[in-house]
Amino acid sequence: MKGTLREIFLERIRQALGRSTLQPVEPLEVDHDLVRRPLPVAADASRARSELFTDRAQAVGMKVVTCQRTELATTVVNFLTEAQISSVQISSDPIFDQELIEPMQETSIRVVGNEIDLDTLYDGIECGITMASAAVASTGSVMVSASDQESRLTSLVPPNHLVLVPTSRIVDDLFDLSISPKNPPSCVTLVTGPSKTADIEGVLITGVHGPGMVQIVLFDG
Amino acid sequence: MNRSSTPTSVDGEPILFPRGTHDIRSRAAVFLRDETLQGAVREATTLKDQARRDVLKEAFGEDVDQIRSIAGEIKRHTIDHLDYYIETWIDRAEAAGTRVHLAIDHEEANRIVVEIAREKNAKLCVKSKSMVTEETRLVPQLEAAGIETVETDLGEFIIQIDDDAPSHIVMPMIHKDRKSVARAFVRELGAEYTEEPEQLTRIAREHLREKYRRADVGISGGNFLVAESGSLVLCTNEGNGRFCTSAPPTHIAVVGIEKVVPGFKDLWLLLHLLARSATGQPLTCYSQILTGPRRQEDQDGPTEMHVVLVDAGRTRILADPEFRESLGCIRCGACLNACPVYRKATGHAYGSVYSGPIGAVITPLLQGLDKNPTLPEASSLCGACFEACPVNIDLPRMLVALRRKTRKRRGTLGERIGLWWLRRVFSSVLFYRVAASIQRFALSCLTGGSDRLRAAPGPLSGWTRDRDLILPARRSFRKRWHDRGGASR
Repeated sequence: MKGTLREIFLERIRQALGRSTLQPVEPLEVDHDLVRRPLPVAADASRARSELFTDRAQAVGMKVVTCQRTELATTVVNFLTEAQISSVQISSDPIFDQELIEPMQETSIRVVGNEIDLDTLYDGIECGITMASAAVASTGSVMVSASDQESRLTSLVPPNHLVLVPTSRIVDDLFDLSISPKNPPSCVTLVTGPSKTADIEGVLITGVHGPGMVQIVLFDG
Repeated sequence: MNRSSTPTSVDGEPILFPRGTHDIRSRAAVFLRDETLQGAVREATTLKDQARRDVLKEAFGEDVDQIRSIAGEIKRHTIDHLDYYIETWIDRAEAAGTRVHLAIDHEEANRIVVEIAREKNAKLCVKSKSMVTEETRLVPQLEAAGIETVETDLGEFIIQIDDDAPSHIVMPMIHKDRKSVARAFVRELGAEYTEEPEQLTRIAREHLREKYRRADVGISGGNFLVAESGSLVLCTNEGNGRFCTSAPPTHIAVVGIEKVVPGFKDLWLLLHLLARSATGQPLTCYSQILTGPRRQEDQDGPTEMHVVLVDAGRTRILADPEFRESLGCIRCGACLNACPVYRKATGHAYGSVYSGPIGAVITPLLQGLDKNPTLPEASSLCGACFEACPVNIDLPRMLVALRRKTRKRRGTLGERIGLWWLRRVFSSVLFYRVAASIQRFALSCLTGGSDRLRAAPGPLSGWTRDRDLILPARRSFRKRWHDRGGASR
């Protein structure tokens, strides 16, 4: 961008504000805690957080199943079998390589990674499986972030999205999310429900462009 | 894309952007006669208005008003220091690899987008919902340049293929029914006729998936800009916004300068209010925080991210302290849903992309009051919009201030005498009592015993044309108070 154009543009704003030079700005102090609503301190905070998250996620139309770390593979395979899903795309999180690919393939589910071409992704894959980078109890949201392991399209293109959420990654509220302002991921998405519309006469339809079904697998870890 | 040859119009003028001086009264008269439209708009707005109240109360209890005022403070603080926060945002965004463009007016904003698309040899653009691009009328410009541009939000898509215009900030096709969608899909997409919303949605989904796959450029708006990180925040429900910002190799966002907030803490607070106020959801299905194009290590995402910051009249509003707070609007549509005038007049009567109370304020400010002299009249000043606004914008105050600007002339002799008398009556207890009993008597003579006046005589008939006048109680409050033994003065 040309320095001059930028100067003209900023100068217009400054003039409108009635100043000729940039004034130092005192950050605004407001009571964010009025909105934040931390959970009451319970004897078992982690459990309370998981329960609230489950409630809220279900309230916005996502499905939640909870399991132990050791049951993770069985839970995922059971879900896919019951939903009659025979092809999945997985993210590159090491947990898949270590624990999930084999049991899925044993049940003759086709498992592909990010190497596939777009046509296959759009037409041939029934479910995208990703790892959540965080989850928010107060809103029931799951956070997925673009990285070297997580693609943007895996959680978007297939009609179903299965997302793994370790209980340790659930935070009370949006305010407790840690996104570094200095170097955030290129794309962070808070998923709060399946894709929806009510554009036609207010009738609620799920699965418009994004996944119509979001299955959360919440596990100890 | 094939368009129906005759564009829909109101009163001989285009639905949006009427050419001459715009008069909401004559335009609203057209929509008041459409009973289907009246029913649809009443139902949708009433439901959303109730949902907003319910979920805000459930989430924040008695603190709702205090939270609204904090949210308003955040927006006002940012706007009072817009020079600082915009500059900070630009620096951080550029550091993250975003290419920032600055547009003083609509033409410049459109030109920048068309140029980027041309540079990429784009044949197809997919676009998600954005109010500012409606304001600049970007899509016709892209199409004129030979670049097919498809709206992908379901409502906006239907509106585009039916050559219609949005009539609500959040529910763009609130004025259309399923039959018109069915007809448009048969005509424009060659689909089989169906009125089932589920089937219609499926048809649009399949059609648009092909577009995402082939698109060269994705265009979006932006709900917020986060100064501390240089991020763009998009709140959507259908997933089309995610497609537009993830699938094509180039992403261009067009955003008004007033969208900036200082930091993530402020963003979280506003996100807690935005979707609750708009649709009654805790958050929209997808809240995306986008900071620069895909990183080297990322697996996908656009290789280029452009943001066009648009002024287009915003600095003019900024310069006027009386109206500056209107720039705090987060476009949730709550004031439209709450407004008794919007519910009857409906969106297209406002002749602008921004309708309802916020439209009645910012359209004259953005386009000039001389072109829209009657818009500030489109309010009963009941205050429902102010009460509904999540960022506490005092819309009634600004509507009155705008009305004052349109009243350059002194009143006629009759008006001045009338007002002089009114002042006398209201400033004397005795006069007031006498006047009130005369009024009660005169009105009961006119109605002949009924409790409401349906048609007033002579010059008063204008008032009762669209409404009934409910008569005051037979006995005055003072009298009843006195009879119940209350203290009297």
